[in-house]
Amino acid sequence: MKGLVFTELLEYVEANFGFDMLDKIIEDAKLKNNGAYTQGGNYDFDELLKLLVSISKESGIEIPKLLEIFGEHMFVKLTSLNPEFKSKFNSSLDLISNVDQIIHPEVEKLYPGVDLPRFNEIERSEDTLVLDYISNKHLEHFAIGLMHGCAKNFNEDLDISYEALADSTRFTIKNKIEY
Amino acid sequence: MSEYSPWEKRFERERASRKEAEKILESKSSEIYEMNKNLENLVYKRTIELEEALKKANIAKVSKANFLANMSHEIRTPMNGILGFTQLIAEGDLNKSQREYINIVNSSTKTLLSIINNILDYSKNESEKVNIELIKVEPFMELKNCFMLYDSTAKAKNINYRFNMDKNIHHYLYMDIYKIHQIISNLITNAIKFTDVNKDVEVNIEVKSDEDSSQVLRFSVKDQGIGIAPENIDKIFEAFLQADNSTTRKFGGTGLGLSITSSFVNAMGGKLKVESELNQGSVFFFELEFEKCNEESNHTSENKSINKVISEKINKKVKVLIVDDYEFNQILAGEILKSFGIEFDICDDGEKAIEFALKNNYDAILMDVNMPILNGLNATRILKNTHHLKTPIIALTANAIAGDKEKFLQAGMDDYISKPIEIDILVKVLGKYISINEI
Repeated sequence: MKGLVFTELLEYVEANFGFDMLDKIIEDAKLKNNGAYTQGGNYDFDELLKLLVSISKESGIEIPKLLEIFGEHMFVKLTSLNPEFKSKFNSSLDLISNVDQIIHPEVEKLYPGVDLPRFNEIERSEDTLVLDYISNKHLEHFAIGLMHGCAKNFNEDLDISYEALADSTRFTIKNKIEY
Repeated sequence: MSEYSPWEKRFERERASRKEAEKILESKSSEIYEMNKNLENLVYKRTIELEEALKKANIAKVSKANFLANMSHEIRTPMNGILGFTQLIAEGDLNKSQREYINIVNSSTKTLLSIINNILDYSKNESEKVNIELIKVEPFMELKNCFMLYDSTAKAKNINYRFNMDKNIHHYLYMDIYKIHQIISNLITNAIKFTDVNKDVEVNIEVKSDEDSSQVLRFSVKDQGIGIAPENIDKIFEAFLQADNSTTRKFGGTGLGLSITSSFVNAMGGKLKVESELNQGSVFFFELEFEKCNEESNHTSENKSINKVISEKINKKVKVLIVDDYEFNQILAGEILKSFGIEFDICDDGEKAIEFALKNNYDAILMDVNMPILNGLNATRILKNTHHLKTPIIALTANAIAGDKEKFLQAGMDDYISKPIEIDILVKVLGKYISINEI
């Protein structure tokens, strides 16, 4: 898992719950490197899970909700690091449907060997997008958070539902704004 | 860690992450360094490949130049026959219409020769370095002849074909008449080609400004043809482009015409312009400045004086050696010399030329370049360097590629006449050397 996710998560916790709580979360999580993450590094996914469990315990927020909140925050961070991506798309559905074709190939160029989820587009109409999310990390709620962050960026509101399939999770994303 | 205060732990975390970041940075730097090294190797390899490709392209370029030189020779040799013998016919007794026809044949041949030269020039990518050769001409007669060339074509299409020439055009001007012919011919051909029956094509030549020593003439060719759409106007002067592809299919042509025409006008200091309206017609026009020529020393009288000089020497028995492997070239050069009462011998290769030149005392040698057994350049080198022959040797050749003249002079030749032989030029060059070696 890219270090950026860890560093952002710790900064988000510190900004919202304070330094003392962050210290406690790190202490409780019993992390391999005592929470010393760097943006360009790569860390085990298990470490992220340990952190999420610890944050959830301290904050009282369920992990799925926590991932959604953090995903929304993460979208803002990612677009501030790569502002050119935003201008390439006209709407949130346009951006989301191109994650696999346009955004992830660029991420792979920047971080060779990075483990990225896959999004298979199943159906697309003007206001609805159906796609399958395939990842052994099962960060569906993080993906939902990112999608909501994306919608906010385009001043849109998305209605996102999902169902588990055999090897994937199918998202049905509807744009609530009427054209 | 728990015995430390949270701030100490924070400090330790920051330090550890900094160290890790430095490690990552260091590893990325080595990665970039390696990539850079590979890139340099790749650039080096590609540069060698490009140099190889360039070498091959240059070899191909030299082959192309040689091919063009040969083509030039092959095309000019039969042209020499046509032009030379037409001139000889023109010298004889002809009735009015025969003279008119022979003048048209002569003028067409010169135009064709000029076109061939220009296509060769164009192929050599030398279109931007068009050589301008100014000679004294009678514009009225020359331009009228050019106009008359297309009279029958226009009549055949039932086109009202008109020619208006300003009476104030100076009697003699210095101009590159072959290029002017080609420009006008090209514009007239296009105008007739694109104009339908019963419509007009009009050629106008007027004096735009008149100074003591020069005149600016405005040439225009107006048609009532298909016209050119505004978006295509800029394209039509580009090589190989016509207004659109259907134009080529319907009207023919190489698409080279206007590009060459425009480059000639540019080379003479003008600019070919066009005003056009789709389905109404076009006017192509340009202005050029020409230097006036002193009528006392006009073209004809100058020739007369040269002819006179040569005629005076006839009594002193002028003798010239003609070296050429083509029989009709031998006959043509011989006929021209005969008409001036000059004696001559003929031989058909370089080896015989050496033999003849050493045995006889010639006043000049007209030497072809491409000949079997021994070519003209090597024969000249032997005569000039080994035998120290003083007789002027004049290259007489169809090799008209730029740079050839220097090659001939380097071999020891004294002058150069390009085939097809033009009587005036042969007489002028010959007169120069016979006068130098006063006998």
